[in-house]
Amino acid sequence: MPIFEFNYRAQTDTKKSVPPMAVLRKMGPLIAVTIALPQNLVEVLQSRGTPIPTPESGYALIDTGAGFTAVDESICRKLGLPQTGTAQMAHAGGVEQRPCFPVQITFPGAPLPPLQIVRAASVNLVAGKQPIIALLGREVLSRLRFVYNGPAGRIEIAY
Amino acid sequence: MTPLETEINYFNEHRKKFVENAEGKYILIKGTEDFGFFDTEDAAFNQGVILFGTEPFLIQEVLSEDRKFDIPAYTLGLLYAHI
Repeated sequence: MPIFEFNYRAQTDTKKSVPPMAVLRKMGPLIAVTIALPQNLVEVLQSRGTPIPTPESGYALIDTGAGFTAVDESICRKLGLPQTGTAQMAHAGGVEQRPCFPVQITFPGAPLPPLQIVRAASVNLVAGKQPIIALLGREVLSRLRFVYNGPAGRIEIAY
Repeated sequence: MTPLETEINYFNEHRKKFVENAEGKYILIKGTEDFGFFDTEDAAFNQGVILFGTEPFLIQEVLSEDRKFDIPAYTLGLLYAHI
């Protein structure tokens, strides 16, 4: 089973060095991702001579608390994704219905295979102009082994 | 009318029959017509792209009641919280 390890680097604050374990604790388990149309939709567009929307890059947070995967709604719009369903999202105020879209998630710089998510929920993640463009939920984790190595400031993904 | 409202209404109108016949599978619906049950949502999606290309279509898990999911980091506004 191939294993990908990502070691967080120590960061230099204004006065002191922040060790990897503290950087991981602050940022959470992030991984660089590119969000694009699934390959079979790309092939449909190519067959029509339609331009392929440019994939969007950013970071995904690996979120063991998330029941499913979510992608920022502005990216779903930019990519012109066709809706494939809705998700009932439970929260303290009740249940919110969010549209779902098909996406392909690739991991630049990591030897992980691309993931096709047929129904990723569209939510507003980047309102704060932060770099997180996706949350990878437990349906993604069901395909992987994920280790949060806090003391070492490292995440490990086996697939 | 919101996108896929026709398809969702169609599914809900026929949900009982679908559950009796194919509980746990995934159904592909476009308009007021269904295009088969599939073991995985990937299979339903691939068939949907073959039939409808880049048009929206509904992939629905056949259950007596829709699953409710949660994303606490998002719904509780904790995504960028620094404690």
